[in-house]
Amino acid sequence: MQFWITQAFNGISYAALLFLVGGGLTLIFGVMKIVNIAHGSFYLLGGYLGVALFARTGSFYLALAAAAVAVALAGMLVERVFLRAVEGDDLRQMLLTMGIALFVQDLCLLVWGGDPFNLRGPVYFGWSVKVGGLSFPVLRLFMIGAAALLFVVLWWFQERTRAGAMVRAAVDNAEMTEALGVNVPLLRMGVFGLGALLAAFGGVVGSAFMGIYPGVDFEILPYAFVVVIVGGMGSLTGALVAAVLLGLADNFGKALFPEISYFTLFAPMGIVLALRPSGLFGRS
Amino acid sequence: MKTLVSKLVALGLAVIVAVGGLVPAAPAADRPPIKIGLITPRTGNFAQMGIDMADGFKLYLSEIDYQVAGRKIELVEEDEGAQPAQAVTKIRKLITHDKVNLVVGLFMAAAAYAAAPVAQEAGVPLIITLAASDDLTQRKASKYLARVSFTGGELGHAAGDFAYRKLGWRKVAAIAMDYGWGYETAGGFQRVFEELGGQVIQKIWTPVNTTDFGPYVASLKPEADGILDVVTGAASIRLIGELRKAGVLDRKKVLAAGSATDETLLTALGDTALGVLSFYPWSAALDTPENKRFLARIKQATRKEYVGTSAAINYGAAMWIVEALKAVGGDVEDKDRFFQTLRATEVKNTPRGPVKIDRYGHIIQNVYFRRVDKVGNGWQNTVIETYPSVSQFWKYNPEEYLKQPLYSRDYPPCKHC
Repeated sequence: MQFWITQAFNGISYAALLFLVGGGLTLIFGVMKIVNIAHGSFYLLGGYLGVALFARTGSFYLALAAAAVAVALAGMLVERVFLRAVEGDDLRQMLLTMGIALFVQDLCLLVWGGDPFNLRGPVYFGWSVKVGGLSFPVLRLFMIGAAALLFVVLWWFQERTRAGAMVRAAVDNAEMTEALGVNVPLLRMGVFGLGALLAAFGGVVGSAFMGIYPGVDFEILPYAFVVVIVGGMGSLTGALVAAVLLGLADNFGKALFPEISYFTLFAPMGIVLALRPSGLFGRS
Repeated sequence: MKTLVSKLVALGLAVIVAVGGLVPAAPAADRPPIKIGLITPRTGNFAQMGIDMADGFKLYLSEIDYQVAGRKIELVEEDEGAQPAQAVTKIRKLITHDKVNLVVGLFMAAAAYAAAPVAQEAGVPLIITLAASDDLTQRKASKYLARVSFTGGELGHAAGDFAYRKLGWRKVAAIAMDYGWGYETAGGFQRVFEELGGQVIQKIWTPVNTTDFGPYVASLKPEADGILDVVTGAASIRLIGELRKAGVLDRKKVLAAGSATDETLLTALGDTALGVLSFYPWSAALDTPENKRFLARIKQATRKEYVGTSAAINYGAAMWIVEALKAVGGDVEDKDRFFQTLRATEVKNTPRGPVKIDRYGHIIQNVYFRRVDKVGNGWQNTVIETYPSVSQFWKYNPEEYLKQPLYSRDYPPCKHC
């Protein structure tokens, strides 16, 4: 019993991180139809900024907020200056984001060097909550809480606000939305910034969980894509469900069949794609 | 007064320089420079390792003013990129275009396997200063190849002995990365440990890019006396952090391959790694005058507080190569004589201790057992035991040893799992 509870808890906390990274990507994917290779770079940048700001200020939450906002602004700049210049040309946009990813990779190496960092965060991140012989690390509880909170806020934004309604409209039919008087270019810039913000948020939390180092950008990217593809492009609920599924599959896969842990992680993706090509919550 | 003294000193220096300029150049300057190609990763995920390697190597060359036996040393640096294809391209370029006399470096095992035949074919000596795969100097050893870093099997053998005799372990659970470094270190450990009477009761192979070690840590067998950890780089921070949070480190000892607690990781590991034991051919805390001198110089050169093993190894490698160059009077063009001299060269005072090679081309060196301790506001790998002059074949007869297969995922088989 202890085994199952511990592993399920581990799986769900990992899912929280996957949601933070995949959630932003699915928003960008949905509204802009961009395969954003630079998404991992926003994660990387967020992580490094978080570590640097934490070292300066000593406040984890300040570092988290400041890094997320800074990367969101950088994301909006990228959208406004580069992506808009090749709007409507999927391949060029993808190549452009690839170029940005390589640029950010080298930039981070130049600024922060190649030795890994770990964001220690507040003291209680090192603690564990003990309940009846089981121990739950506070950091993992924090990850679950942060992801749940962000999901609720984003869901409320998308489903209950006017701006959210515009985003949903733009996902379904951008041209028609524009014809109705919605400023779609502005909306796109905003959504790209929001996606970058989520990635940076994941980067700061992730650097407390798994450290930040050169190459983590391209390690995290496939996971983010799996979340988007399984969940359905543009669907936040889909991203959440997919993240939980993947987190659990990854955990129990590693614990029960360690020899084939990549298979147990990516097999669900294959099955979902075979049965529902547009993802669990995606609309074709 | 002070200004007068400094003026006099300046005048004196000026005179020396002027006179020096009048003296005809030494005949040695007529000989062309010795060209050394240095190939390490400078871009990509392992760039920092490559920079550290080059920093160590160049530090020694700068100490001797890039001169040996009256010849200048010219260093040509290339980027391995930690990709086999790129390593091959770059080593070809070094040999055919730059016409280097010898090639030094190589970080990634796959890159070294790919590059070695190129150097061999051209008859250019290749001295590996990091790539760790056993077979480069065993079943695939070649005539002009030497290695002065370390291998997984070599360190694993010593660790197996240490775990059984010094730590008193009888049952061990191993968690190792799912590639050559993990197989060879865990394999060497298992062979020696089980021949002494111990049992490896669990072997977990973790994928190279494992982000979450939670599930592996939770499934470690509780009856193990200790844990062998062969997880390296940034992943090591995650595994040790997880072992700490799950309370495993409070109950059991962890013995790690040294790259898991390398000096470059100590700040990121922080207090989570306190008490973790490890085995490696160097430690910054090694209390010898040579090492202290090296550390002072490299910290000054790199402006880094924590300098890693790859820098120390490459500094020692440069000492060893220069020593051989001295012995042949700088005559590096006679490759066979130079290489024979290399084989016979022993340098006793490198930062890591003595350096010499066996007849298969691999280094014979000290293996240090260390423990992560807190000292002031920082951390260090305190040396608690030294195994001197460890051979890559441990105490086995090399011919017999080479008849058994290379350590792998399934060899030696896990009889007690």
